[in-house]
Amino acid sequence: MPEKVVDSLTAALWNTNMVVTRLLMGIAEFWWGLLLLCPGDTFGRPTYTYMAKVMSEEAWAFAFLLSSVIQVTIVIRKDFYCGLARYFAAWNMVLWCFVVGSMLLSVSPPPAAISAEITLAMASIWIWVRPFLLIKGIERAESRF
Amino acid sequence: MPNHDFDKELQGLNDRLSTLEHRAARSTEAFVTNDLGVPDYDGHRRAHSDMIEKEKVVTSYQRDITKKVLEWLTVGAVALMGGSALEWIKAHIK
Repeated sequence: MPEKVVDSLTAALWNTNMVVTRLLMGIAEFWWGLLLLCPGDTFGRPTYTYMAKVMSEEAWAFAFLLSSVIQVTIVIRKDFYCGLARYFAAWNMVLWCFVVGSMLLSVSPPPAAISAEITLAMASIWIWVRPFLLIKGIERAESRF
Repeated sequence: MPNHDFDKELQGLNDRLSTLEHRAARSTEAFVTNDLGVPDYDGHRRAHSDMIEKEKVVTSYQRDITKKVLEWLTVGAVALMGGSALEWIKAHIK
């Protein structure tokens, strides 16, 4: 792997507060909530088979809208490492990973239209796991000096 | 011989010296005092040196994690493409 590529990606992954990513996730959650509240049987489609087994459309819409509000609130307050932000990151990761996983498992071949959702699920994992990795790195440095 | 106003020049030097003394006193406030009660310049230097070394370890750790993430993503993408390619080949062989 070229060193320059690793350097650039290291800076992109570690030296940012991922505020734009969080904002995009908040907007995506808002749209999910809004679209699920539209009249009609969205969950009648095979893509949402597993989601429908867990909760009703309205309940999923509420979960997404609540997540959107909390996500945007975190962005506005610029408080990315407080208790609320950390617990929310865990919840958000579960939400996105379940939604993406359930859609991928519901139909075959997997729907190409959820590529953005897959990306957001990956981002949610990174937002959750990064502080833990960072603490581990700092502990490693502390133990050497 | 040039006409010097020694009193005025002395006053000017005195003012500049006072300014430097004041600045030096403010600069020492940036340092914690050691057990002898004087600014701990060496401790300050060592603290910075330690921080720089720790930063190097953390950066190296971050680079390692980034490499692993890239490797996982590459393996995942290759596995997905490989699976799809196999399906395509099977379908076309039949």
